[in-house]
This record gives sequence, C-alpha cells and structure tokens, in this order.
Amino acid sequence: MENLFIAKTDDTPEIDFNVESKEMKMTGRSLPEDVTTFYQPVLDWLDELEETPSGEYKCIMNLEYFNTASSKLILDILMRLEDIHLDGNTAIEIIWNYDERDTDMEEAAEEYSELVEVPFKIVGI
Amino acid sequence: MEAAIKEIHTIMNDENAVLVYSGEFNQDIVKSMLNYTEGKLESSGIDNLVRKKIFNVMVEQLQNITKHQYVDGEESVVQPCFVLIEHDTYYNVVTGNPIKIDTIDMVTERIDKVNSLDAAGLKALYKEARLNSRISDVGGAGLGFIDVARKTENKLEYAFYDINSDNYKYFTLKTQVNKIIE
Repeated sequence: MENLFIAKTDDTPEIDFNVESKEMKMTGRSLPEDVTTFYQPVLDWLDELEETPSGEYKCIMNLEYFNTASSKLILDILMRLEDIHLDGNTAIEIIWNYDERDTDMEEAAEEYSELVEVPFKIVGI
Repeated sequence: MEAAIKEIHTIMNDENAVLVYSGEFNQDIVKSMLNYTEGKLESSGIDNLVRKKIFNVMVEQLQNITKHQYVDGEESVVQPCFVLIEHDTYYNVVTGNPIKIDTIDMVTERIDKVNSLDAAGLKALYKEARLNSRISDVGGAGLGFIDVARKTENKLEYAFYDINSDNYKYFTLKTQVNKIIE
C-alpha cells in the first residue's frame, strides 16, 4: 500500500494517510463543490486497506468545519473503517479532536460515535 | 413580479447589510464571499463561535443556490441574491433564487417539518436523513435546512414570489444567527 496525501485548500481538508506511522489524518475544512470526487481517493484507499491486514491504524480527525454534503461522506468513511475493524484484519481507533468551545463539533463527533462500532475517542482541545 | 423585485430591493438595500451580492453563483464566488465575511467579522471582534455559525449557515445557503440556480428553457428574469445583515442581537442570512414551481411543495414541506421540531427532534431527523441520504447529481445531501435550523436554533423564514413565469417563482430564505450563544 502507498501513502495518500492531498494538500489542504480553502475548501478541502488535508488528507494524510501514512502506512509507516499507521495514521489516517484529516485536518481542516471540508466544503468542496463536489464531495464525491474529492473523497473518492480516500474511499479507494480504505478499500485497499480492507484487503491488506495491517495490525492497527489510528484515524485522527482534526476537522474545524464540514458542510452537510461532507458530513455524509465522512459518515461513509467512518462506516468503511467500521467494516475494516469488524473484519478483524486491522484494528481501528478513531480519535476526534475538536476545539473544546465548539459544542456543534462536539455534538457532531458524538453522533458519529453512536453510529459506528469502533473505539472512538472525542477529545476537546 | 413587482412584489418580488420590491422585496429583493428592500432586502438588498438594508442599511445594516454587511455583504450584498446578486448575480451568478459558483464555488469561487462562494469562497470569496466567505473569506470577505470572515475577515470583516474577525475585525469586528465578534465571538469566534458566532462567526463559525455564520460561516456554517452561509455555506449551506450559498451552496444551495450554486447547486440549484440554473433556470432551464427561459431567461432568468431575477438573479439569485445573498445578503448578510447585522442587527443589535443577531445576524440575518438572506438568500433568494428562482425555484421551479413543481418543487415548491417539496421545499415547503421540508422547511415546515424542520420548523415544527425542537432540538431533539432535529437531531433525530438529521441522523435519520443522513443515513438514508445519497449525494445528488448536483452534489447535495438534502440536509441543509435541518443543519441550518440546528445550528441557528431559530426557525427558518421563507416566501415564494411571483415572477411572471409559468415555471418559476422566486424563493427567499431568511435565517437568524444570534450573537449570544447560550
């Protein structure tokens, strides 16, 4: 498997999925015009991970803001992670960091954590 | 027709308007409007969380226009518009765009449903709608109204104005972001 890196822009987050550190990081804002196209490489990478037993991976979310269309794609990503975790080939842990004053983001993280059966830490920073 | 133009004119000439735009909407224009507003709100010393809520609501309302602005088969007589207005205790985010008459019932039903729910009801609706949603051809998830109602904790105000077209009316949506978050 290869690393996946997509640099941050005004309307898309940085994607940094690294096979050496076994970390999948998403950082910044997500409000692209076309969420499906933007997130396709991420979903493809996760498909590959599902086929490749890899010990354990951490997914670290440092998202400052995402629009509703991105919210749907983030759910798809988390559900893909749940599949990988439940398959048993690769253990997944999700760490969701948020600005501790931002109760909207805290609530969003809590709602995701209720939907997926994966170890899920929500950390106010 | 006249009522629509008069209403838009009134909204766009509000003396407390922070930003007024009318014309074509695309992602680059949306980004410029967001950057401008963020800069302006930042220099006004407003609470970061309020600024973030305004940003959030603007994105949903602006992208809604970007995705649904095109009027097929006839000249659009009234352009889409966006206005951000500052009041003493709140901001209004107002958008206007032509809307196909045959989608008005669906839009009305969605907004009325959202307006009828409290915070817990909106949370449940959002959760269910997101699980069942599919990204549409124009890239929407169909969650914008619910999200805006949740983030603002205020009702959505809307109207449809006649614009002398058999197929289109002019849809205005006004939301309110409070300056004090409880």
